[in-house]
Amino acid sequence: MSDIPYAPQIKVPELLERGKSQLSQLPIYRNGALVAPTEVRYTLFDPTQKKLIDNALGTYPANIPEYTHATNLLDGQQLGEGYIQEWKITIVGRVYTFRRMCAVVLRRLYPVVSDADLTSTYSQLADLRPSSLTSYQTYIDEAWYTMIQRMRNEGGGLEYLVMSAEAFRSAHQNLALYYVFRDFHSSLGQSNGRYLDLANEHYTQYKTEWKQINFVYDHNHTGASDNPDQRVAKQPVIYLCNPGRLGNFRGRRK
Amino acid sequence: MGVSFAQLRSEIATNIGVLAGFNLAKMAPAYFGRQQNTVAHKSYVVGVDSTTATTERQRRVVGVYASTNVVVSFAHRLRPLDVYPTDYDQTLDVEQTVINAVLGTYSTNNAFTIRYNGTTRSVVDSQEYMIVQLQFTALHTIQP
Repeated sequence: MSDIPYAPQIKVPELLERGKSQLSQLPIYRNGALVAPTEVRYTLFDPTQKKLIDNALGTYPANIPEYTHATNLLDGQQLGEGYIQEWKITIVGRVYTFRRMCAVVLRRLYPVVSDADLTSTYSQLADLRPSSLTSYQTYIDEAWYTMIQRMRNEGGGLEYLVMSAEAFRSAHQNLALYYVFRDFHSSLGQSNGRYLDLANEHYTQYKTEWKQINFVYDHNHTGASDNPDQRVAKQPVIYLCNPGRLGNFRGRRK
Repeated sequence: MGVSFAQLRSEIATNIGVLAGFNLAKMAPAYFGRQQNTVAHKSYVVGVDSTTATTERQRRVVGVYASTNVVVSFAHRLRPLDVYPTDYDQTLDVEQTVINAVLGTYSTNNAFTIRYNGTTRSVVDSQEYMIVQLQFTALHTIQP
């Protein structure tokens, strides 16, 4: 029998902070349920493929494979991307190897949007919350991971080098509200309606906010902004024309 | 003791108004469905729709013994992910509470009697609210 395509839950690359004992987890799903492992082995490679942790035994409480990194493990290690976590997990007698990209960072970026930021803009939203939920946190988290992933995919920078977390607030708020209202609309099974209008409105606002994001950035991985007075645009400006030939730019001195 | 039409409406509205979360809408009863979404939940109106005089002697000193149809309408929110059956059932429970309140005792020392006739329930097209219409008959005397 060929390998079953189990799905490890990997939303964004794992970030390991220096000087901190950290837990890495890799829940694995199949058919809508957590898969039960019988053995977990963990290896951490640095960007030169040197093993920082070699086939260490991990645990799997409540069927979630996990490994705790020692506090001093990353002392002196190069900061940035290129690290790889390799999980060898035994499931029903077979060993499956899952890889996850990883980065060593000084600080991670935390979202600044919470449930109160959504309900403060819509007084009704708290009353419309589904009985199965106590907050809109699932939508907020999904919006956050989508933004981080999009930022990396578009080459907008690395989220852990952003010093000003509030730069993402408006875009995050609008994307979360888009997910909330889209779910409301989807549940009602209609082709139009107020919830769809609101979802579309917030998605348009999100796209506008996303383009306009700019932040204070730590280019050199020093833990401090390079120039606090100069903000960096997430989306670069692309000029589609060359400077004029023969130096005859209008207003240009010869 | 006579009870005017306005007094009848007011007495019933007061009884419903003490229920948790209920607010008298600012719309005429016939236009209740146009209530703004933001304030629609548990808003209600009491309409005194029609009256028929009973076949008794009508004397100025006694007054006219009348049967008045009263329609109580209220809206109850349906949350998008709980429309049916959670919020649908909740609306039915609230409806029962409103019926009990209308059939309760009144400050006019029960100068009129009231009877529950039936209910019409509908869900608005957007599925955001359920509108419940309760029909009652009030028997009262109008002092000319």
